[in-house]
Amino acid sequence: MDQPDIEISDLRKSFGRNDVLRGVSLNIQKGESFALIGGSGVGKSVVLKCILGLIKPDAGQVLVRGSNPAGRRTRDEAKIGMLFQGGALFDSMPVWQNISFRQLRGSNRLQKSQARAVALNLLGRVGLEADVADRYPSELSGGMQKRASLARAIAEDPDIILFDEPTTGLDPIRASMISELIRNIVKESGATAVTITHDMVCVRRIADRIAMLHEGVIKWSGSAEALETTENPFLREFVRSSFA
Amino acid sequence: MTIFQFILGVPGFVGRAVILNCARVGRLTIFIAELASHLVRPPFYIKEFFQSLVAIGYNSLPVVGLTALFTGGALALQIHSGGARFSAESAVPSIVAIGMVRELGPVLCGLMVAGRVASSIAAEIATMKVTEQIDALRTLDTNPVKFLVVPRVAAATISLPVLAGVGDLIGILGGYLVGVSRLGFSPDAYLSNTTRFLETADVTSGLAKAAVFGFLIAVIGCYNGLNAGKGAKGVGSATTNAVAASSVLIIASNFVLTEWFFTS
Repeated sequence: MDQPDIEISDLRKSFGRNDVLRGVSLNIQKGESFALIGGSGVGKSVVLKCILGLIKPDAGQVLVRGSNPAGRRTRDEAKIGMLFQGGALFDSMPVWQNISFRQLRGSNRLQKSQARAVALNLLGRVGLEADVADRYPSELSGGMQKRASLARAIAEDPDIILFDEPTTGLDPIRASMISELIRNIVKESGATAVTITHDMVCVRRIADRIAMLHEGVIKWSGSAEALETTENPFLREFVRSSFA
Repeated sequence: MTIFQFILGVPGFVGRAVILNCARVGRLTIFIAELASHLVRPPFYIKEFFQSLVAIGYNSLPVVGLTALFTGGALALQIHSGGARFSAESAVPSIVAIGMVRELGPVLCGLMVAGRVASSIAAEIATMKVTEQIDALRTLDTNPVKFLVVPRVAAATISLPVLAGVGDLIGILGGYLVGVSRLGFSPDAYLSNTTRFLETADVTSGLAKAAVFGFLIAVIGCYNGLNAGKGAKGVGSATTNAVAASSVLIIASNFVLTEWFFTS
C-alpha cells in the first residue's frame, strides 16, 4: 500500500485543563475524500489545524506526505488549500485579489491582468459571476463568501484540500450547492480532501470514508456505505439526530 | 474568607501579577526580535507599506495639525502670561518654538497618533485573528508578521517624524497667530525671535523622538492585535490595551530620550 498522504498517530492536545485530543490516530490515503464528524467542541478543528501546522500538538505526530506540516519544506512539497468555516476572506481587499493572493505576491507572481484572469476563471468554476470579482467580502452573502473562499483554496491546484464546516450557516439549498461543488472539485482535481463537519447530508454527498471523533478519540471509522448499516449505538444516535 | 487567608493570599496575588507581567515583557521582546529579523529579510510587501503610510501618516495630518495649532496658540498665551511676572514677555516666540520642536510637537503627535492608529491597527489585526484571516494568511504561505506587522511598523516609524515636523511648523504658526493678533508682537519680530534661539539639535532630537514613538505605537498595536482573545470582547480588550500601553510608553520613553539627548 502507498504511503498515506496524511498520517496522524496518537495526537494529543490540551487547552488548559481541557484535554481536547486524547490520542487520535488516522491515515488518509492519496486522492481519498475523508470526512471527520463529531459534535460541536470535540476538537475536529484542532485536528485540522494540526494537519496545517497552525497548532502544535502536545504529543503524537502529524505527517503530511512524510513531513512535519509545521516545517517549511512541506509547504513547498505538498500544496495545501483550506476552506475556513467563516470563509476567512481578507476584508481589506476585493474578492479577486483574495483569490489570486498568492499569484499577486512572492517570487512567482503574475502580472496583475494575468492574476485577475486566473481569479475570474476560478470564480466561474465555483459558480460566481464575474461582477463579484471587484466586490469586497463584506458585500457578499454567506454562501457567496464560502464559494469565493473555495476559489481561493483551489487557486494553486493543491494536492490536499481541507474543508472546515463547509456548510455551516447556510440554508439547505446553498449547503447542498456547496457540497456538490466540493465533490466535483475534489473529483476533477484528484486532490486528497479532508472535511470536518456535523452535517450528515454533506458527509454522504462528498465522503468516501468517515471517522467519528468523540471524547478526544476516534470512536468509529468506516466507508460511507458502512455508515448506513453501522451497529455502533453512539453513531446511530448521532446520524439519527442529524436528520431529526 | 478569613483575615488570615486574605493576608496569606496577598503575596500569591502579587507574585502572580509579577510573573504575568514578566511573561508579557518576554513575549513582547520575542515579538520585537522576530519583527527585526523580518525587517531585513525579503520578501518585502511594498504595496502594503505604502497603504500603511497613507493610513498612518497622511490620514493623521488633520488631527495632528489641529492639535499642534491650538497647542501652539495656548502655549504662547501661557508663556506671555507667566513671563509677565518677571518681564520676559519677549521670550514667547523662542519658548514656543523650542517647546514645540523639542517636546510638545513629538509627544502630542505621538499621543494623537497612538489614539488614532494604535487602536485601529489593534482592532484590524484582532478582527483578522478572530475571523481566522491570520490562519488563512499562514495557509497561503504568508508570514503574518512580515505581511501585517513589518509594513505598519516601517510606515509608522517613517511617518511620525514627518508628522511631528509638520506639527512643529503648525504649532509655531499657532503661536505666531496668537502672538501677532493678541499679544502685540510685530510679525517680523516674532519670526526673527523664533529662529534666533532655535538650534538644529532641538529639531533633530524632536524628530528622533517621534520616530521612536512611531515604532512603539505600531509595535504595540500589532502585538495586541495578534495576541487578542476570542470574540468581540477580545477585539475590544486588544484595542484598549494598545492605546493605553502605547500612550504610557510614549510618555515614559520621552523622559528617557529627553534625559539622554539633553543631559548626557
